[in-house]
Amino acid sequence: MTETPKHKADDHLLAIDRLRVWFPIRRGIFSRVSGYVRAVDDVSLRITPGETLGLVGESGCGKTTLGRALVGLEPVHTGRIRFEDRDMAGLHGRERRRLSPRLQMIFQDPAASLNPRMTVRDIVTEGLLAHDMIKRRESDSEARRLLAEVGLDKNILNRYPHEFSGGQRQRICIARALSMRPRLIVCDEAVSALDVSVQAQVLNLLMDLRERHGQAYLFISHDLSVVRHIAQRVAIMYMGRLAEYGPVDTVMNRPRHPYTSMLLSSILVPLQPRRERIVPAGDVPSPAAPPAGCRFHPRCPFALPDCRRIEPEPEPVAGDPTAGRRCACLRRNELADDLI
Amino acid sequence: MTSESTLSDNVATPHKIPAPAIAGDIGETASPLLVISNLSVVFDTDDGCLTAVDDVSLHIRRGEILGLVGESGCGKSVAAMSIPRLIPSPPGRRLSGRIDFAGQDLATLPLSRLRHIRGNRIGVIFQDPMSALSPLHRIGRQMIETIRLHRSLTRSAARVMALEWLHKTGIPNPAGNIDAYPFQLSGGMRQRVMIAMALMLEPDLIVADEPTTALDVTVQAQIFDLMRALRSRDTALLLITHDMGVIWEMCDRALVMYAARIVESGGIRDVFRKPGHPYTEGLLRSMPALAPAHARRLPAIPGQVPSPLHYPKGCRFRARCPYAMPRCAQSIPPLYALGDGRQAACFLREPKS
Repeated sequence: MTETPKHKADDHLLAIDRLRVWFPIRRGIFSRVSGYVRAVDDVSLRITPGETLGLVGESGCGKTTLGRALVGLEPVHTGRIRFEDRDMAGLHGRERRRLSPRLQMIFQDPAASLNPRMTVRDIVTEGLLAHDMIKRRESDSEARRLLAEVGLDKNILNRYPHEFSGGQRQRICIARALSMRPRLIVCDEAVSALDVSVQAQVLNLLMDLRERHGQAYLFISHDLSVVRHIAQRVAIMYMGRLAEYGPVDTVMNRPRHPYTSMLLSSILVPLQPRRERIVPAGDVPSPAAPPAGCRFHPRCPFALPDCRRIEPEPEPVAGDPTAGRRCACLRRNELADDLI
Repeated sequence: MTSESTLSDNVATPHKIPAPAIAGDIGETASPLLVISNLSVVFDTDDGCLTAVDDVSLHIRRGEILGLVGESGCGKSVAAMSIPRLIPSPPGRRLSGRIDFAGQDLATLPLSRLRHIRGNRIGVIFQDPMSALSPLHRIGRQMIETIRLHRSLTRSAARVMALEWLHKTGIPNPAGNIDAYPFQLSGGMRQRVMIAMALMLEPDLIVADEPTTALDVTVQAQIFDLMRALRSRDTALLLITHDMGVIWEMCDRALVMYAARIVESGGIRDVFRKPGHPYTEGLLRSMPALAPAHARRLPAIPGQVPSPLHYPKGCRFRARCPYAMPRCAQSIPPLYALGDGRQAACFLREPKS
């Protein structure tokens, strides 16, 4: 984050400033824009080289949209995305494509993100060939190297995605992302669809690869216990905005936003006594008509009348010296003891 | 958790019941509400005959919450949905087994009599309420129809009852939402409707198949609180899940399934503190929530679940098992009793004679 003294602004691999991804709602025969779904609304984030930032929130909070906007899969409404000191949002065509290998994405459903008619070899070397990073005659050896890197058998080059299990398919997706030697990989719920035992294998693989190649991850997940394991920093998202962010241990051990605290208290940890829960009231409101003021106030047990008027920005927390820690709650300095 | 010490500790534990346990090994005198004995279910597919459930026996007592846990494809849902006979046939086929519920064998009961039990004495909650509710009918109408099928109530009396249950399950504005179509409700609200429909006839048994898997964690917490609060004291709950956290949170007792067979059963605390089967142990150690802070690697179970079309001879876990012995390749280990109503299907647990 910008306030960390060690890092100057240009040390950032990725800098997002006041990013908005709004989807127009069209009505009537002339398709007039009658409003917007504010999927991502004024979000600012930093990722330094080699670090893993966890982005956590419930379904519909905008975390996937944010990740997709980064790799150019969703249009940016306003705001800036700087990657390796180039403004991504303003780049198009060839310029954009030149940068894109260095920013890769892994999706939740490996079955849907692999072309069923392509062999494993073609899948993992397609990008390399398209960007002239290897010659065609090198593709076999390069594909074997990539498969070995993700722990797959080298002799599967001519096989098709349907012949593999979910975990193996996700490894193929990782090999494909890795082939471009990316500096940042956006992992969108990359292990959520996998069984626990396989999930642990893939998490281990992602951590090994990080150690070997030093790429950064934006690790998008709804699962706080997975994020606690893999990420150094975490950002909690609610209805298109950041509720709280900072180092993982700080945020998870000393949450200052009531929403973070509720997410934490709903993790089911075996062998721990069942904790006293703060369960938020009701459901997430529609993102097309977000509540005025703090978006969490209708579900928040600590809301004050001011919360209905003032939309809080992420700000430093008094009495917490942890660098890079911000919380978007009007009561962030007084609730410490009420939150678990 | 330390793996080796855990297992060897267990081996050294004196066994109170030396003989291998049989179906319906019950610690208490109360006769169980439901007893499944030696159930086997296969599916006929183009690729051959697929073993979904292999020689599964279990029992549930009144008021008990029993968890059935395992990874996808292990047969837990097929085993549970065989109780109200909701497995489509073909392709599903029951090879063997009895399902004794309140003095009747549901496996062979004529459909006309089974219909009096489904919904009425056995309620079912599915993972995806969108596919379980009719998209064409208002939720109120679906509830009223179910009520009137099993209770002789007038339409308006049934509507009052439906409204009352929507209120109990925390649906805001029941009078307005009773005439909503399922698509107009959020995922959490639809699941509440499903729960209301499963609970409203006060069944003896509720079978809940991954009831919160599709929901967000904060909504999951609400749904669990609701299921605990609304269940009458005598209602038994069979909860199917892949999530050991859910088992810990909700259940009294757990059955662990792997590759179509039950590999372990026991009280929650025992199963979590001293897993009796290497698979259970591996499953627990794979959980990030249980990993020590800043442990770099998770002790994952290597390899993957074998294909249900060709299960290997012997113990189906042996290719992934750190304790595998030559013997494991020869025959399937039976469920050995470990005392306190616990069982594990592993040769390491064989009582020493």
